[in-house]
Amino acid sequence: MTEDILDTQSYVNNSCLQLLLQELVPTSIRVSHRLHDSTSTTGASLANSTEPTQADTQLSSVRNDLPGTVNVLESSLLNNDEVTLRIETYGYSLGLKLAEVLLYKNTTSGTKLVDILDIMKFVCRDVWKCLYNKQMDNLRTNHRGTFVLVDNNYKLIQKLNSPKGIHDTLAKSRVYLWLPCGIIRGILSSFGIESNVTAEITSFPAVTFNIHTGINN
Amino acid sequence: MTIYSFYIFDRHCNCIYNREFTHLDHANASGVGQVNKNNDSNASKLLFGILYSLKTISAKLIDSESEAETAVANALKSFTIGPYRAHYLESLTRLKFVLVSDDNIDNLQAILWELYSVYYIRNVVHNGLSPIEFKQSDDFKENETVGKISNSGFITETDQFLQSLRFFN
Repeated sequence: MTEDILDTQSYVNNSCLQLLLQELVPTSIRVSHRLHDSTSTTGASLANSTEPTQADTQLSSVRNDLPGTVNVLESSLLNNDEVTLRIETYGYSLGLKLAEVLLYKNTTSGTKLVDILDIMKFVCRDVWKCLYNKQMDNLRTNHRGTFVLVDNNYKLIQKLNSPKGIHDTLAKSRVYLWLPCGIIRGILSSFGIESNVTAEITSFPAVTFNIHTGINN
Repeated sequence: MTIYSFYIFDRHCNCIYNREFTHLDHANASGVGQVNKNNDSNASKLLFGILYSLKTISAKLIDSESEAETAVANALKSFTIGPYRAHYLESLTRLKFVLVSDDNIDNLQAILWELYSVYYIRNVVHNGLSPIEFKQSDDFKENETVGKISNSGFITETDQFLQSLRFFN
């Protein structure tokens, strides 16, 4: 009998994963800046990219974007569509794969996910359990294809706290939320459901995901 | 027994956090004081200077077998001048945590360790919106919050923690 991948894998350190995920938004902004610099004729003053990064290496053309600092988040591109779409796409492909990984185990137990409500429950329970070791706190639907999922303490943004106060924290946290939006859209897409997912921060760090699908149930 | 102030210095010798507690006679007055007001003052620079010198001298006082043992055995923990005692903890990453109290408090190593291992790690390192390198080039001074720990989570949590100690006042 072959061993199951999900049963044999060892745990990933949670701190490590959280720190890695926090790099998502800065990296996306840097990629955008790099792309803009290379298209404009005046820019492209960055150091040779093959050199190893030092403590005083500029990571992008954003002013004072040095390792260990968060100045890159002050970039005007923070809420740029290109940046957020890149994050969302990242989540989307993660969601597509995650659905596969979680579902091949489920098929043996005989339960079938046919109803869209079952699929939403799958997102709330299995997907969230796999990603954040907790379930969604609330699931609501208007039975016309719109679903509202609430996580009262969303892990990805839970520890964010900007020195500039709560408004700045909220503005920057919103960019991070494109990742779970993409994940949910990816999961639903693997069931053949086209959807439109947006997230809002109701009272920090509680997050509400609004999912619009074309399916009437 | 009283705690007067709390400092954090980073490895570039900058004071990245400075909390001064004002103790008034009447009740309900605890918790007042100043946050990050005197980071560049002479007092904080001199405090850093004393600590740095004492640390360097103390490292040379006793010779142990290995270098690592010497460092542990000779680590500066506190020093007293008049009625004040400065408690000192340096992390392996060369962050320096300092609490200034009166001389009735003998040892605050556990408290300093908790400030570092719980509150600093949680609110600064795990906080994606807070820098962990506070050194800034000189042309980047227009922003007041840069170069210091000024996120509200860190300030409120450490304040609560320190004020909950029985020897705070």
